[in-house]
Amino acid sequence: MNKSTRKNSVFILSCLLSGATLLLACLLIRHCVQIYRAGVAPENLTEAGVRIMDIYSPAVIARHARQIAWAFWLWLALLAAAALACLCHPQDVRTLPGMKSAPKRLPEPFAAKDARSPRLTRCLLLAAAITLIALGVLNGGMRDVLVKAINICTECIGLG
Amino acid sequence: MGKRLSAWWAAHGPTKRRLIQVYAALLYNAHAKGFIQGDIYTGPIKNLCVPGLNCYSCPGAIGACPLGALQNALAATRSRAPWYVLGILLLFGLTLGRTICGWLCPMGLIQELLHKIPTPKLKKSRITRALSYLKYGVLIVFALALPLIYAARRVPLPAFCKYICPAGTLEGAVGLLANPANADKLSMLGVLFTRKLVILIVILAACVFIYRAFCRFLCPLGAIYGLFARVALIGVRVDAGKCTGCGRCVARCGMDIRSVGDHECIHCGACAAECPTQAISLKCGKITLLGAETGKKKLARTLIAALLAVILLVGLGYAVNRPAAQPIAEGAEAGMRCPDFTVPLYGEQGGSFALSAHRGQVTVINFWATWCAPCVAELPHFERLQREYGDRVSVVAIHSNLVTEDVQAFLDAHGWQLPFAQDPDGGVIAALGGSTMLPMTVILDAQGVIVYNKVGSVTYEQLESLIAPLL
Repeated sequence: MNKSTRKNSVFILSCLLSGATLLLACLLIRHCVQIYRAGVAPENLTEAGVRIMDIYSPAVIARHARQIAWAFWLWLALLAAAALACLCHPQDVRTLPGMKSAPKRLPEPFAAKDARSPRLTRCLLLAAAITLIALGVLNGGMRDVLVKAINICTECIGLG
Repeated sequence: MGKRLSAWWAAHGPTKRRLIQVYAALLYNAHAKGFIQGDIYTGPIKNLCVPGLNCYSCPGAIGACPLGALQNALAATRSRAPWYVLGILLLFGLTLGRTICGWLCPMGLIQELLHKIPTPKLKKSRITRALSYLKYGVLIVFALALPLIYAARRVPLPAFCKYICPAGTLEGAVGLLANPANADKLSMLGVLFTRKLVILIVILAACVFIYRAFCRFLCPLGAIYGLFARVALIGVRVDAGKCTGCGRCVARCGMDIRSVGDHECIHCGACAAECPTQAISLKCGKITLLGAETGKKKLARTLIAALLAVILLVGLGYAVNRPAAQPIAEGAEAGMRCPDFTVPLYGEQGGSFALSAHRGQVTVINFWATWCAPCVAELPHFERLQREYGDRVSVVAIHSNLVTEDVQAFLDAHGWQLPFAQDPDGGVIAALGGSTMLPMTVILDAQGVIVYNKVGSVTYEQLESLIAPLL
């Protein structure tokens, strides 16, 4: 295989992988929404508005996972092929569109002020940081951090 | 063959930065036991914040997330000034700045690994540069303003964690749900989880095509550290005498920088290798960590690696050898008899709530805390329940033993009429399952047998439907 053909095939492979990635993401989102909509559908609610079955039950998740398994395996196969191509001919991958992101204009010139050492500012900020931490330890702020960190706020991590 | 192999390894092997990123991610999540047991680390070192974005509800996390801690500290400003978290952020920003993003952030590592997937990429442009200012908006609105506004209404709301944070969804929610031990938590999932999962999928997919999409456009922690770009002790430095202004450094950089070391620069050091005059180096004060010099550089690297190894060892040893969590008491599951308990009540009259005195009534026990937003939000349901069912149902709301503010003052401000009790040593919640998750609701029938014991918010309709068959 000559260099040009090889480069073209790497490019096509990467485009296919892009498509598969987007497809997989879209399918995942679609199935998440489907699971949720089925869970809150009137058929799953009692007269009092209470859910009969959980929205995300293991059975429902497994059923939807089976439905999109083909997309996952396709993505995985394309990823493996692309990774192999990348390992064998990394120079071809480096030439993919967007891999070099040179801006059209030159960067701002290196400013002389950057060379000045902000030693005094650093010292003042360091003193402020140590003071704040000490104040926080004394007023119980440190214990607050511990209390929050060792308890799971289910809503905060998106569980509900 | 050996030469070819070593050449291949030199070209494809992980860089030192990648090794440090992996090292940091492992260090932050050294509580391996948590992944097996499906529970989080609850040891004392969790009052220390880690520098990077790493959810403290991740089963492996041994430290607190600085952004989560900041939001919760702001949400509690009515009772306590957030000095500690502000001091920690100032210290991290001053010493490391956005070097944390480039070298020590697990979310940064995940994004970079996703970007390794060989697909055509979206170039940085004026649009991405404009979008890079979005993270300051996210910082102001979600991490600062909303927690403060809701704090004024006495509702703790860590808005960024609740509505956006992909680290919380990936490490916290998915990390916990992936363990079969937490299968019962699936019942809690609803619109919030769906929304956050969709956000996570979008962000992860975007990272495949856009270099560090979350980091560049949304991360408030990066925005905070970016403010320290001029004063951070560690960072890339340009030797003005050697710089020719060729612009290769900015061209090579994946971030939306205008100049090396500005507020968008994550100090990854990729530009140092690209510089034709070797004008760029990663420095800590006067010590060169990455760049042209070799002798000092090697020594500094060895010292840093050794230091990290010691920290990892201590962290792991501490996490693994922590005291065992309280065992789940017998009688906590549905169908078992609830163990008897007596808890002191809040209020001027004082007194106590003894479960044995309420045998013969349906009893609803709610575990809550002032700092738990969903707990506070559902308390009116329990009050309504008591009002509407009178003597037939006995309700008690027990505050967590981890008290961060004056609970009595909090109750006085709201004027609820429920019997509010305290669980001074955490014995009651431990006896009913020992969960670290709030809110938690337990419903007992007239014989004191548990019919419902779950973590998560409940609606009034759910409570009614659970109680109706017991009356």
